[in-house]
Amino acid sequence: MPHSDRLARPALLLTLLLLVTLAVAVAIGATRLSWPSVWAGDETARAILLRIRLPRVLLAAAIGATLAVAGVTFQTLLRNPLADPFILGVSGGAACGAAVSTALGFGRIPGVVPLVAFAGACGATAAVFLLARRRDHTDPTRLLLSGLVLNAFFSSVILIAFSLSKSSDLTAALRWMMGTLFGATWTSVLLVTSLLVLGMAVLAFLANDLRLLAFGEEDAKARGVNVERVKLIGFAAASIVTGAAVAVSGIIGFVGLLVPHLIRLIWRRDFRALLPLCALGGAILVADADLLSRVIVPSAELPVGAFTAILGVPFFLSLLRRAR
Amino acid sequence: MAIPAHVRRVITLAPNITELVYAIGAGDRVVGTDDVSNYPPAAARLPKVGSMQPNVEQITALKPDLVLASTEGNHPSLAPALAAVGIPLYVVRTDRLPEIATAMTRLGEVLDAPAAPAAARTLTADIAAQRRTRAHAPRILFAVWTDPLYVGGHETFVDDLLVLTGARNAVEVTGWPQYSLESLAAHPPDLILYPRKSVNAQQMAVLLEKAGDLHVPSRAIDEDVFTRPGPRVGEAAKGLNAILDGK
Repeated sequence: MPHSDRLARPALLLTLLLLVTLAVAVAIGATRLSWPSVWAGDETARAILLRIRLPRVLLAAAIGATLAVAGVTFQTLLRNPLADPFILGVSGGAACGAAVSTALGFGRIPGVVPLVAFAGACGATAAVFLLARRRDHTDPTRLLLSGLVLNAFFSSVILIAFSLSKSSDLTAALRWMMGTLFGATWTSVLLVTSLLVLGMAVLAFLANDLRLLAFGEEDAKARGVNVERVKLIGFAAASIVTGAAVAVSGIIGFVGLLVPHLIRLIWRRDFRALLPLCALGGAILVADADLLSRVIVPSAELPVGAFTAILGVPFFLSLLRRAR
Repeated sequence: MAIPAHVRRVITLAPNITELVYAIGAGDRVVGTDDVSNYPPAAARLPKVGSMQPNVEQITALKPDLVLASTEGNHPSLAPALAAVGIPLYVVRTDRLPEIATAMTRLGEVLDAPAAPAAARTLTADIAAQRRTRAHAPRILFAVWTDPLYVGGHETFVDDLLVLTGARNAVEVTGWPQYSLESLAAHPPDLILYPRKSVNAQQMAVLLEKAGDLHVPSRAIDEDVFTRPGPRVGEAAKGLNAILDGK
């Protein structure tokens, strides 16, 4: 990689920051863990650390990385700074699937709602992609517009599903609307992480094409990039990982939009560097947001999505001011 | 809007208000209820006018002299909407245990129901009869939902019932917050109660497994009886005492 030296420093810095974040997030929680008793094999302390806190911290990091990677991919593919997995209808599709399946009474059968949410996310992006396709060409503006319009449609369906459902179903559907890392299991960590690694591998394979695409489609074509193929694969990869993330944790906003811009403002615009840096940045942001959400009020938990914005927005605004 | 001296047609907009109106002997004047009101059986058969956002057209069509709502479930635009069609609204506070008898008396005055004072006295006696002190107050957790876990904390009607029956709320939080799985694992309660219409045994099992394979007994209860601050509070407390005595 031509920029490997310039990638090394920010990558090292972010990796260190992530490690510190993970260490703090594992050390602090609703309960005070006594490390000697964990070491001595105290059952409760071990269960809290290994079965509750650790998977939750890792899931937060994996979800954050996934959303940021999807965000930077969509922004690059569409050459639009506002593109974000949620603006493109992925969230709407997932939430719609979750809301409708809970309203139909599937909320009480474990596993059904996340599966429908995942199908909704993938279905929505497929629909957005097909809607934006004209002859053999996918127009970025049409893509964004289709996403926005589909999101509006999904919102209406969700509202109707909510008005028709019982209050207990409402709680179930709200889980997906508000986003939470509650009840993270090693299975969910494994699922999200393996899809993230797979997705990032595919995107890394396309990284040079995506970098060229950032300069414009005609330019990229002239340099031998198969633009439509890159769009299709990139779009599919980013959507599938987002779908999995939303199916597991619900909608955690701002990460896909915020993190890529933060990274661009501080360091580079080259997609090959952006991809790993965004993954690290997203992991840090959501792990920190989740830490705050679970320690601010003792024993109670606040919505994690609120903290991604509270943490990210001031930082983002100060950078934006400095960058003018 | 003034409340008429002789209320002949009433619409109730909360299930506990409906139960209270029937309990003071004014059930024959109820002409419509919210969607959730299902008790007594006669109330379940009445026309339904919505719940969180009641349908004002439907309410108007039922020609009530008065609409009754509870402070908790009162939509902010309901009063002006009813005022526009000339229907008075009376709102009662009922979200805590001591307020139920007061609400009964007030409703009795508003509806001019002669049986109300006696009903309120019976209710107060029923509640007093269920008061217990226990040498070892069992720690009870009331789980409203399992994923994420929502619990009934302090300063709620459910907490009032626990205190009355000599139990102790297992959580230190107030209101109805999302609750930490770690805290559940670190201080397991003696018993978990859960609403049987919203949560099933399998969901409860998944929750306990996620909390590190907790072995805590759990018991499904009828949320209509246990979470409605209404005339069946004595029955709820009696049921809770039976559960606690059986332990």
